[in-house]
Amino acid sequence: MNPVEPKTLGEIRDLVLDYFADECDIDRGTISDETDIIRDLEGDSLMLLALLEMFRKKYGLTVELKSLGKHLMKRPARTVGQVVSLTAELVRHGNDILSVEL
Amino acid sequence: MPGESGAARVPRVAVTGLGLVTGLGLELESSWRGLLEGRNATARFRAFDPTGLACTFGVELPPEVEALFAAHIKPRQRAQMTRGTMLACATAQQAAQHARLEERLGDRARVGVVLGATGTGYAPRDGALDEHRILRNMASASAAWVSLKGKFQGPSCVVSTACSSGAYALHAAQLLLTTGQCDVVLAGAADSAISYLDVQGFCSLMALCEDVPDPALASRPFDLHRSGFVIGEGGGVLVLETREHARRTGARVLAELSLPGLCCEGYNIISPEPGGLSMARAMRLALENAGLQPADIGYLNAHGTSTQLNDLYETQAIRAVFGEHAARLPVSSTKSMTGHCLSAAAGVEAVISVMALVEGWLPPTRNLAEPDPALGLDFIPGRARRVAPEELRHVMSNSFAFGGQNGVCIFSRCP
Repeated sequence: MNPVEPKTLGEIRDLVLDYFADECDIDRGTISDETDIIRDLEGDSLMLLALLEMFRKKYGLTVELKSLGKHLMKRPARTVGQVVSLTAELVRHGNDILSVEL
Repeated sequence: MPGESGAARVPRVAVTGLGLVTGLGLELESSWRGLLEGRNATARFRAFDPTGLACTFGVELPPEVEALFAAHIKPRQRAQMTRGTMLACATAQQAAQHARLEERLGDRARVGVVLGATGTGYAPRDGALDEHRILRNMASASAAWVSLKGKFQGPSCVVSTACSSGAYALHAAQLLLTTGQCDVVLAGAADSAISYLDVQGFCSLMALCEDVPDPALASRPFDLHRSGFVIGEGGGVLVLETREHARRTGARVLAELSLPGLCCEGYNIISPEPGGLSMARAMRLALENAGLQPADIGYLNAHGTSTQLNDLYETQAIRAVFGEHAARLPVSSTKSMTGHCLSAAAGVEAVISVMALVEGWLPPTRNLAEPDPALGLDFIPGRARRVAPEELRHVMSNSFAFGGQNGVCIFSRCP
């Protein structure tokens, strides 16, 4: 399977950073890949679901919540960079994400 | 622990910070100034259209409260909270700042939070999906958020005994401190139940004043023409510490709290027990816990709801407990200005009681135009009163609840 195009990856990154900046009322410039969603942004795990819903619509994803939940048990997404990577993998693998060795 | 007149069984704890948000002001100073001025804050409801309700007025927080919430709480978190929970967060933050906690705190696992609340005030009027419903409706939310935002990692909980919730919270906090489980506890209460459904509910209980042409005259505790309470919203939070922790960290000790007197009337879910027998019992328990005699109390902040029965029975209870001293004891009901803040009332009035002790000023009872001759105590009508420090060494704050769960707190000047 082809990797996500750099253009799409940049778009995903922009959307993720905009989302966290908006929801957490914080300057986007202060958010980096290492920013911890709970500790640094006072965010919560439900934000991942909101992002997933956003990307579902934008990229026509058909990922089931159950699949995503199982994936997150193996590979938690605690930082903004990890969320960007996770989203890119979802766009690339869709519901097959569980069967892919990342 | 020495009191003037006896020995208290549970050590007193230090009060080192106060947070107060009422319809009179969004912080301690403005609220206190409004109380001493005897200012009115009762007006037609703004939060919703009360057309069709028997009661159309209450004491709402000033509109600037939204900016206060926005300054302290991020948008996503606000979406996960009710107004009452946001109020708890803002009030607790004020108290923590007042106590200079950030400068003094060591181990955050030794800092607890105990808040009083009946619920969170979650009252959707339709069946629309609310993705944050569970979080907003969670009864423990206020304490959880205060701990979360302050990064306090000691015990954290909500206690619920309706209008005396704040007094029960102070009791629980005192035990956490005196049994060595915490060094610091933020304790008090916040509540906002000003919604169409809640006002309708209190109207159904015939508890609210409905019959005055001028809302400013509606809350009139101890007046001959009193006819029900005026609903209010607010928050009152105290920072409590062991005396050792306060001393070691250089805290400014405002007052000391003795273990509150708690009891249940076991009489009726709505009506207070005739004669105020259990109201008196709670006051006696508080005096006993404080190691004090009735004559030691220099001011009493009454529950004083402005309902016929509460004010009658509370006055009878005061006479029974204080005997001859009752005639000399200044008593006021600040609900005449703040409205009845429901489960926040005991927290709000605890803060007011400490302020009276610290400032040496007694807030008045507003709207006492024609005192009920059947009551006949010194209710501090209309104007705040200055008192000499030697006359004001201990103050009492009464809180009585639907369900008969009574709580009485005593605050003392520092030795």
